[in-house]
Parts: sequence; C-alpha cells; structure tokens
Amino acid sequence: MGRNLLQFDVTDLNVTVAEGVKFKWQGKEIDSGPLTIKLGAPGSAGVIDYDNGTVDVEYRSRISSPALEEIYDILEDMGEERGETAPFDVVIRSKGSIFGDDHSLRLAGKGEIADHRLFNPAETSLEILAPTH
Amino acid sequence: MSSRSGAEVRDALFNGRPVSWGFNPKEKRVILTFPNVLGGETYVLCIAGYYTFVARPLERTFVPSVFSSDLLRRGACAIKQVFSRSTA
Repeated sequence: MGRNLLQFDVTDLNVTVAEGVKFKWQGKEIDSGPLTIKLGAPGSAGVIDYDNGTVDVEYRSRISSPALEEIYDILEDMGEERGETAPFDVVIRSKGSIFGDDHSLRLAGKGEIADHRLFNPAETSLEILAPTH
Repeated sequence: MSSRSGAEVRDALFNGRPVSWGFNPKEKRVILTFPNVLGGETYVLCIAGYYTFVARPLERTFVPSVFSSDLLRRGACAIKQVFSRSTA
C-alpha cells in the first residue's frame, strides 16, 4: 500500500518584515523600508507525509524592499548588467512537523541565495526559525 | 490561519481547496545576514503574513476525502485480516 502522502503546490507566499533593516551602502546608512518575501520563480511545492507527521516544502521566493529597488535602479543607471540588478531570489527549503489537532505546521528552513551582484551567496544568509509553539 | 479542526483542514486539502497558514507577527523567526558590501550585519526579525498550499490534482484523487487516515488504516488492517484468514 502506498504511503499516505499529499503533494502540493505553494500557490501564495505573502510575507512582510515591517520593521525593515538598516544597512550600509557606499558609506551611507540606508533604511530598507518594509521587506517583502513573495513567490518568485515557478515551482514552489512540497509534500506532507501523514504517516510520519512531516512536511517538506520549497519556497522559490523573491525578496524586495523600496530601498533595494532604488539601489538596483542606480546600479542599472551605472551600466551594470541587468542580471546583476535583478531582485534578490532565495530558495527556502523548510522541514517540519504537522500537528493533527488543528493541522498546524511547525516549519524551519534555510535559504539558498541565487547568484547576485549585491547579495553574494557566500556572505548572505537567510534562516527561518521554527515557531516556539 | 483559521480555527478549523485538523480534520477540516485535511479535508479541504484533499478536496483541492487552498489552505493558508499564518505567521505570528510578534515572533522573531527570521535571521538575515547581509553581505559585506551592504554592511555585513545580521538581523533577527519578526515576519507577518501567510503561505498557501493547494494539493496537486493527482494527489487529490489518491485518498478520497470522505476517509480519514485512521479510517483508511483501519480498513487496510481489516482487509489484511480477512485476507489472512481466507488464506490460512
């Protein structure tokens, strides 16, 4: 008998980091404004294993903020290749547990940063912690 | 994201309806490190919002929605027992 699996597509991801961050660029401190994380490239999907109570999911996401968009525009005006000024793409691979009482999910994951002129994958990281409850 | 029971959420998934889960906006769940060219800082941040899953059509026909996993397991056990008896 086959395992009790449910394969699914992630059809929406709508996340905001309202507080934003303050970062430095060319000696100036810049407020990013609210960061948004939304679906980027197609193919976000995962699987729920009801037998083991586990979830695996991959979010192909795109992170943006008003300040980052301005920097991309400046870089583009300076003649950078368009591919180097594209939005910041991250594949977030999350794993976790499913709880039967309310079908809540407890997911944690790490991001794999796509090549980018500003967001050097060797120096950039994104981690999503599991919820505390 | 809703107060539905686990069985209701699962039934919605198996029937191809979108189901969303939300983040607690007061909980710091993201650790983000910027590259050196942008200061190299690490931030621990709260996130708000949601994500939505929809089962793939093939999967939706795999397990009829009217059955819970427990019922299916019990059914499989019952079939196994009948089969064992008839072949013993």
